[in-house]
Amino acid sequence: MMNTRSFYFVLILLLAAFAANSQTQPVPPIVPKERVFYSVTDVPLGPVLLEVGGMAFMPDGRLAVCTRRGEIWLIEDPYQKKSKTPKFVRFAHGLHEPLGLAYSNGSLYVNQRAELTKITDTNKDDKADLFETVASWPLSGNYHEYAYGPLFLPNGDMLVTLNLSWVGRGESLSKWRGWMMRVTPDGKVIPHAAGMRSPAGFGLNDAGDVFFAENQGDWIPSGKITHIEAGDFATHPASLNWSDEEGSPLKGLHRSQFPDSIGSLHEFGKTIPHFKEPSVIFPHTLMGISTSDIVSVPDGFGPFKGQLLVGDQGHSKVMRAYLEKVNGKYQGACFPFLEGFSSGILRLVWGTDHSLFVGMTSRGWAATGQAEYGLQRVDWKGKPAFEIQEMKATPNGFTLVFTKPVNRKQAEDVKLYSITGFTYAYHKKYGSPVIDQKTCPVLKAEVAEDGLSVRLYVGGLREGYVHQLNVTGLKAATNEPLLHDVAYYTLNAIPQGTDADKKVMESMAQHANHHATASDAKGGCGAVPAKNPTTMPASWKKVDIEIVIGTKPGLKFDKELFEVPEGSRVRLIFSNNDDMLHNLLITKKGQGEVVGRAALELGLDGASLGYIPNTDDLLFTTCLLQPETSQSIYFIAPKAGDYPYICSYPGHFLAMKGVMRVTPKK
Amino acid sequence: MAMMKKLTLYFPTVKHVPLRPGLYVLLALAVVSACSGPPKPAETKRVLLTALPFDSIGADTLAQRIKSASDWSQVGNVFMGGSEGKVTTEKGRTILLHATEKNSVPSTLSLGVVHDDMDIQLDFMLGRRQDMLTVSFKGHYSLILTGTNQLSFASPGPAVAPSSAAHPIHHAILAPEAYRAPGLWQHLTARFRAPRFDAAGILTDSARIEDIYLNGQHISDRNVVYGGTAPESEKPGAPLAITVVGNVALRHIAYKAYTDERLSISNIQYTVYKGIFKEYDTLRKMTPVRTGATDSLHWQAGDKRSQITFKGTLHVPKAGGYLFRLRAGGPAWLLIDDREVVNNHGTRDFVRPFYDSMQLNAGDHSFEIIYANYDQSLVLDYEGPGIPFTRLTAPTAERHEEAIEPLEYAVTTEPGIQRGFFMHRGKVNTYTMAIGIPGGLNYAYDINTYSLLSAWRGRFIDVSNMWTSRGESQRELPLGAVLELSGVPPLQLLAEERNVWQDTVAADQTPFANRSYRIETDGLPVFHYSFHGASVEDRWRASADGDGLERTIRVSNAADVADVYFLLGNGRTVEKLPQGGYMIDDKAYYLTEPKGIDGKALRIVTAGDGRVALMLPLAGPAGKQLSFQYTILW
Repeated sequence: MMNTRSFYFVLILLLAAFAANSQTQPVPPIVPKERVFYSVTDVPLGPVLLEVGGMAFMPDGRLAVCTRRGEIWLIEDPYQKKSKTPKFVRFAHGLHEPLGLAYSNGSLYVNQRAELTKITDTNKDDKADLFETVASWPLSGNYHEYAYGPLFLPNGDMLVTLNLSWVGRGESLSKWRGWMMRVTPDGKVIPHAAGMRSPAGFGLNDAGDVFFAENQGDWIPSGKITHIEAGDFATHPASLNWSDEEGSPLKGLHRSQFPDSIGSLHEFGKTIPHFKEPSVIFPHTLMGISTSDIVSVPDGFGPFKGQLLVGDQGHSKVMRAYLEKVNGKYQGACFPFLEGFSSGILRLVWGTDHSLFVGMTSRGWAATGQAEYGLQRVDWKGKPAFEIQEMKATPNGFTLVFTKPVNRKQAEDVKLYSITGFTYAYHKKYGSPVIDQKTCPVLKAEVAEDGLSVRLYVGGLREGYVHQLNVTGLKAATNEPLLHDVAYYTLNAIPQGTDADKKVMESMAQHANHHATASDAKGGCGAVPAKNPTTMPASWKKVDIEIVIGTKPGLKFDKELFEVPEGSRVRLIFSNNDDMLHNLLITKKGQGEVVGRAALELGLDGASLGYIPNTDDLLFTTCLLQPETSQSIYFIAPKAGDYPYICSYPGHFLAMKGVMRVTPKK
Repeated sequence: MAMMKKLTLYFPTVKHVPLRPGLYVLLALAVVSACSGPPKPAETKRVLLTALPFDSIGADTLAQRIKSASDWSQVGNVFMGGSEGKVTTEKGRTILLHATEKNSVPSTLSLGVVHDDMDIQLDFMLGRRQDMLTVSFKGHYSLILTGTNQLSFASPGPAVAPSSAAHPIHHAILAPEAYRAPGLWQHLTARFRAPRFDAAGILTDSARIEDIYLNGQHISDRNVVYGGTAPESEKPGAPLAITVVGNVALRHIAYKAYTDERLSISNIQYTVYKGIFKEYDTLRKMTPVRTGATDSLHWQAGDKRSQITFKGTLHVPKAGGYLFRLRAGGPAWLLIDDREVVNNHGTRDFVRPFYDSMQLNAGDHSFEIIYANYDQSLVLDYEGPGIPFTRLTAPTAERHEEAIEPLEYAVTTEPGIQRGFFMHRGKVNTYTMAIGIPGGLNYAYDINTYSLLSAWRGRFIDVSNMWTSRGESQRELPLGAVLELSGVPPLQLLAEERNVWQDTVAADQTPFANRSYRIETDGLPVFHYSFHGASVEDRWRASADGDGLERTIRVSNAADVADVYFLLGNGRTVEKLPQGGYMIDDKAYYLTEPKGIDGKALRIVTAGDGRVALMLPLAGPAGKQLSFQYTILW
């Protein structure tokens, strides 16, 4: 419970945020409790159209930003220390959708669609005058062939990634699409790793290891971050068109070795040399929908030094990942961190004062943050929140490390914790529902002497599965509530235990109640079949009115209003011609947003239900449809009035909606 | 709340200007059709037919027509050079020429073609700015082209209906972007629609021109409507005629004359099947869901995502070759008399057309259309003898792509520079830099091959396809009549001077090194690259008089250079002009006499495949320096 002072503090924050945002869109869903610890400030852009593609700080302290429209802007005093309005200088223009920016040795480097370019202002007039081609990329003209980076390695080489082409599915139409490439400063290009789909963000951890972020799509059941090394294959087979090219580290690995539906990525991966499974899976819709940039946390940003922050474009949020090595390979957990950014997050960069700059754009891919583009600055206010700082795997469970001592009595109660293991299908289809979900019984919770960690003894853990941890209602010893009570651990390997470890588990298991619940992964059409009527009722002689609704790019229905007479027999055909999953729900008058938010609360069961909540406010719904499929539903138009319809896929309902207007009977 | 708000753009040079979205599809087609001239040497590939051929007015017919006309002749080649307009010719019969000292006396030549509706295309050349060409449909509905940037129109009589917003009577249209310099071949296409009268002889629709393309640029944004006249003089009417003033040359005059006849269909039976199939032989064995009679070809008669077939009788009014154009969202086939005529290779791309033709006798034939209805779009058009492209399927059976609102990148005082994708010779070029010079000269430069792709006058580019939503095509659209150059890389490594040129450069295996461009104080780029030891600086600017693009090349040999050549102008032909300078690619553009080159070094070379170039060898020892300059004018 917040006291009056904190309430007013938060209220002022909200009002300030509203005022800053008021020139564009309504306030996005901010989580006020997070803003107690981290402030998020808009960097005023004035008239500058800043669809952020890349960001890098210059030695003089200015922030260089490259935009999707091919410009590079230099922003002086983005910290707003000297004045409320930072100064903007247009440094360069004319580039072709640069989606990455780095500074090295007096020059800025961008990766634009056709080329990795070195840009220098030789006469120091704040206008770039020399543009040197470092490397050129083969292109087919397909719109999906984006280029990202560069990321500078300590030895001066650069890493870049190349997005797959899209032809109704991911394909590698041009050479090296789906690959990460290493480029030397003098332009030598060396194939580095493959198996990528949309590797829009990648970064280094403190140990100098490279992690890249990947989005859900065909072959990629959920967003993830993966530790990537030279010669790795990161699971998407389309890139293997080039595996036998000169210089490829993956010679002999061919697409033909990948059947369209494989099932267990973890098991299959063991049979393929160089196969690199995800280091941390970000379960789709629960932990974002389009993972973008990755940065490592420095000093002065809370008690998470060395952990990774991961941005999300679709859900306008930043999440946190803790990584550890088990059997020499990275794995770990992801946690919610900060929500409610103003647009879709693409880039993250650290300022000199430990502030985090968040660069955003949502043109073409609507995000929960409603602004078209933006730049915000995150500062830690100096006080740590009560959070799960680390989640480590043990031979017989997990150890949770907290930022503050826990309330001992609560933390010792196993009923506080619930753990569910689940996985996804590895197949050619776009995305995957959660499958093989089982509860893992928590047998014992041992609180350390200092109260800062809790060792959980857990049964039923499975290698290669993601494990969701919920800690409900835990308070710190000071009575502060846990800020975020969920985490997802990607348990690629269970650490080797001793015989003693095994004996401990056996004795505990005898005293525990086992219960495993498998979830039905069928459906995707909600829980109430009567609300999903896909066949014409036998009593109907004919359909009175037929409505066809499709989709438009930017997460919209192609019709946002249609009229039907009261009592008429309606056939509504929803045709999902987009490249993402969508559904169509018709709700009671005025309840569109309510039903949309209820869908967000479905948790792990969301996918199997098609993100269709079971609520009285729902009237009729289609199933969750794969790209390029359609479905008809049949219903009788209710009493006259305006009935909202939405797509309830997490993150879509704010933009993807319309109104069914039922006109009165004549 | 969910709508994308129109934002104030800081971009100082980007403005919102209304343009017709459909323009660019037509422009793309017109550019392809505008490239008429002698066929490329050594081109033996079968060309896909996307329209029935025009009827040519041949050399023999023209010879007859000019028999007793003074100042008219037939030649094989013609130069109209310099400001005095001196005309020199070479023997031959492919070109119709009117050349005279009597500069202001018009001379009319009937072409003998009596017509109603017609399409016409021709190449023409004007010698000086004051020279004129008039094309008169039915002898008196005139389209006048001059050596300045204006097209004019003249009617036989006063308008029956006054000029209105819906049907304006244009007297003149300015088209500065479509303008070509005197002495160059220009290309005109136009579609003429004859006046319509009712049974009582009352004019119901005035004569009009429905489309004019000049050098690939669509000229009229609305139909040009002519004033009316009496019906007695219109049936059959006077023949097509041309009137010239001064020095005018014409070639490749061709037309399609249309009648009222059309294909018709009757006894249409539709059959609906459950399911959807990529081939149609399965259907033959299946029991249909339902069948019935219909009076139009529309997929609505069927079910969503299922197969539908239409069978019926096709009445052919006149024997001849019929060309069918099929576009469908899902696999579709047309069969006539049980023979497959055209299919769309199973695509769901409902915008992409597929063509095929068939000879048909007059009379009744059976037809069948099979459509796997994925995406609710089925469009079948045909062209026949005396029949323009006409739709057979129902108008509402066509699904339209969502139109993108135009977004002009306006160039005022600062140059415009934008990299993106660009259409060149029918293909997408993915390494283009478009540059707009203040004052209205624009060019598209291939930064992978260092060749000039295209040039145009007037406004810069439309970037709506790059920056609207996801920007799926990423195409920069030029806002003017485009002069397309060959796009051949100007730096060539040739062991023998006449060796065939390398047309493409693989981006990841480029022979170019040390690649960069600098932005100079005027805001325009200068390109740098080296090629087998030759270090090159390549700068394009507006020429001093603002009429053309001036190129300055500086070469310095970083090492001994051998076998390297610089291709200045190149194409189907390179012709040296008596007064100096060259005409390139069958008189598509001028190339002024290069400055800074030893005349003996420059040579015209025909490569093994028949293409011709003005070439300069760059061979020489390390340290050799060379600088030259030339201007292209069009």
